[in-house]
Amino acid sequence: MELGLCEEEVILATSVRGFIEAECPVSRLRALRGLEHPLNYSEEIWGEMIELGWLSLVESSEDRCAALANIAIVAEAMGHSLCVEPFVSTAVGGVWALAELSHEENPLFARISEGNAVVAHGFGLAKWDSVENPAAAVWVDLVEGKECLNGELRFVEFGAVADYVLLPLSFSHSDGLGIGLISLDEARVERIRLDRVDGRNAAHLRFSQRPLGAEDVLIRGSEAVGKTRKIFDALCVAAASEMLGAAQGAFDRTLDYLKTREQFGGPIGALQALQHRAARMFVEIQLARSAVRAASLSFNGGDRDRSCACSMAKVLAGETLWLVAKESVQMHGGVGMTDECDIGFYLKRATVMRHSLGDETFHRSRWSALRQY
Amino acid sequence: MGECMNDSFKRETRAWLEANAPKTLLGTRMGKFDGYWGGRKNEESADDVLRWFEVMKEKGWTAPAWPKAWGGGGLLAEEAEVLNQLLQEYRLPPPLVGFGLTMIGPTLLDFGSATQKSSHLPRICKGEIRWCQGYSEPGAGSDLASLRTKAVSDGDDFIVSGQKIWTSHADRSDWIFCLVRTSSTGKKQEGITFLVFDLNSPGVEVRNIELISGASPFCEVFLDEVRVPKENVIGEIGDGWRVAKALLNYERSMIGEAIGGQMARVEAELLSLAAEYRGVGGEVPTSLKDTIAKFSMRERAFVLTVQKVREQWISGKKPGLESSILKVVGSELKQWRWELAEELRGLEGSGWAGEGFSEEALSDTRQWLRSRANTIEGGTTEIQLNVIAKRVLGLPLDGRR
Repeated sequence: MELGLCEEEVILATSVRGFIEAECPVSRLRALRGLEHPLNYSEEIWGEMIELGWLSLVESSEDRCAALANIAIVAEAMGHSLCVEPFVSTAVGGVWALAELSHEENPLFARISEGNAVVAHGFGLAKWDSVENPAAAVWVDLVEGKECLNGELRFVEFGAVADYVLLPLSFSHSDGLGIGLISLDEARVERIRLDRVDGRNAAHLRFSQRPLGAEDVLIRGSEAVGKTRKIFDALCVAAASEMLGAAQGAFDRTLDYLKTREQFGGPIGALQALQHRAARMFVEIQLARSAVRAASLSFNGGDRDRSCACSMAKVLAGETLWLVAKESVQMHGGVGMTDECDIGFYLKRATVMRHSLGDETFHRSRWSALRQY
Repeated sequence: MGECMNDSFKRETRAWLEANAPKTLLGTRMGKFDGYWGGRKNEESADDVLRWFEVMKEKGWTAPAWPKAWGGGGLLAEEAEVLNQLLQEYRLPPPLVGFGLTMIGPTLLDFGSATQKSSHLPRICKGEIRWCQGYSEPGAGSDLASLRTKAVSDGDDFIVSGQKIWTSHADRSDWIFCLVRTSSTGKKQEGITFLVFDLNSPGVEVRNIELISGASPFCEVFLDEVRVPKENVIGEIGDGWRVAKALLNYERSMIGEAIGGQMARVEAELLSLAAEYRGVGGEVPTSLKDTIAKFSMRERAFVLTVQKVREQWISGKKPGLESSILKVVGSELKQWRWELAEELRGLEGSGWAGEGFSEEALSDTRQWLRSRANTIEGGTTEIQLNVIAKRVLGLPLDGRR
C-alpha cells in the first residue's frame, strides 16, 4: 500500500486545489446560506466543477478503487474551503454507486456523470439492525399487488435540490433489502427543507404510497446487503476525506493567525501554550490522514478489512475535525466568535459532518462487532 | 522489473530463513528491544538467540542495508525492507539490537571518517561492542545544549570531566557516544563536540539508578579526567550539535518504530483482560469495547503513519522531523496500553512482588510503571512539541531566546 500520493494523484490534487483556492473562498458561504438562497450553492461553480471532469473520475480511473481514491482527493480539497456544491453525493451516491451496481448501461449513469442531475443519498443516518444488516429508513409495501414506498428519510444533504436520491430499501412483503435510485419529482415526494447551522442544502424527504417501478430499484435480494455496506463505506471515505480537508483548512488558517496576530509585543504563535496545542492538532491531522488514505485504498481488499478501515477513517477524521475546529475558534480569540470571521464555518460544518453517516460511537461499535470483540 | 527482482529476493530469503532460523524463535518477536544486545559484557543470552545471531551475522544481515565494506549486508533499501517484513511475518526477533545499529552506526555512516567507520561499524555488526548514549546531564535534560561536561585539549587528546545521567544500559555497554563542551564562548550550541570512547578508560565510573518500576535500565556515568584521543571526535570539533541532532532523529524514529512493532497484538490482549476481569456473563461491557476500539483505531493509525514514514525513507529520504511525531504518538500509546491493562486489572494489578498475584500481573504492573518514562526519555513530549511547533510549523521562537 502506497500511503503517499502517486504522481497522477498529485497532479489531480494540485489542479483541484488550484481551482478551489481561486474560485471558492470560504467567505462566499455567507451569501449562500439560509432558506432565501434557492440552492445553497453556486450553480456557476458547480458547472465549472463538472466542466473540469470531476464527475468523470469513475470512468477515467483504472478501477473503482482508484476512482474512489481520486474522489477522496477532490473531496479533501473541497473540505479545505468548505465547498457546498453537491459533488460527493453525486459522484459517490450517483456515478460510483451505479458503476458498483453494474448499471453503467442505465441511461441515468450517463445523465448523472455528465452533470445533468444532482444526486442525494439516504445513507446518512446510520441506523443498522446489526453490522450485517443495514436497516432502511423507508420501506416498500405491497398495495393492491403494486410496490409502494413509505417512510421518511431525515437530514438528507442536498435533499431540497436533488433530482434523485440513492437509498437502501426494505421490502416488508419479502423481508428482503434493496437499493433504490428514486426520482424526486415534486408530485411524488414531500420535501421539508432544512435551515441548518452548516448552511448546506438539506431536507427531510417523505414518501407516502409512492409507486415503485422496476427502474427505481437498482438491486434487490441477498446481494444488496453487501453492496449497501460497500456504498456506505465509500460514502464514509468521501466524508472522512472532506472532514480531513476541513480540519487542514481550519488548521492552516489558525496557524496563519498565530503567526500574524500580535499581543504582548510579538506574534501570539511565539507563546508555548499555543505552540503545543498547535503541534497537537498537527499530529492528530497526520494520524487522520494516514487513516483516511488507507481507507480510500481499501476497496480492492476483503469486505471486513474495508469496513474496518472506513469506520476508522470516519472516526479519526471526525474527532480530528472536531478538535481542530474548536481549538481554531478558541485561538482566534474574540474575533473567532464573530460571524465576520470565517473560522466559525468550520465548527458548524464539523458538527453536521461528524454526526452524519454514523457518529464516532456508532463506528467504534461497528469496528468492535466486525472484529468480534 | 524492480518488482520482479524483489519477488525473487523475497522467495530466496524466505527459503533461507526457513532453513536457518531456529524453530524455537519463530513467533517470539515482541519488539525491537527483544533480542540479542551483544557486547563484551553479555552473559545471559539463550542458545537459540545466540545461534540466530551467528547465522545472521555470517550472512551480513545484522545490519542488512549497511555497505558490505563496513560489515553490513549491502542490501538495497527495498531488499532490506523485504527482509524486515519477512522477519515480522515469521515473528522472528531481530538477530541483534542496540544503539550501535540504530543510533551511532547510522550517524557514523553520515558523519564518520573512513578510519572511524572501519574501526567501529564492523564491530557493531559483529555484536562485539555495545554502545550507550551520553547526552543528558543533571543540569541539562530537556535543555540539552546547556551541558557542562568539559573536554580540555591536551596535545592530541581531550581530558574529559563531568557527569552524564539517564544513560540507558551504561552498565552493560562497552563504548559511549557523548556530547562534551569544548568551548564556553558564543552560543551554547556552538561549543559542543561529539566524542566516542571506551567505558573501560581510566576515570569512568558507572552507577545504576533504580526507577519506580524497580528496574535499573538507566545509569549515571561519572567522568573524572578521562583521556580521549582527538581522533575520536565525530564530525568537527565544535560541530557536535549538528551531529547530535541528526542522531536524535534516528533515536526518535527507532523508538517510534519499536513501539509500532510491539503494538501488533495489544488489541487481543486488552480484550482478554477485559473479559477476564470485567466480563459480565462472559461478555465485555459495551463501554470497555468502546475504549478498546478507540485505542485500537489510534494504534492502527499510528502503525500506518510509521509505515508511511518508512516508505519515504526507503525512497531515499533520511529520518527527519517526522520522527518527533512518531515519538509523541508512540510513547503516549504505549503508556495508554499499560494504563488500560492496569485499570482493567484493578486491585489484581496492585502487586509489587511475591505471592497472591499472577506472574503476568506483576510483570505488567512493572511495565506500567516503566512506561511513565516513555514520554520523558529520548526527549520529553514537551520537547517534541517544541520541535514540531518551531521546525515543522514554523512558529516563532519565544521571547526568551
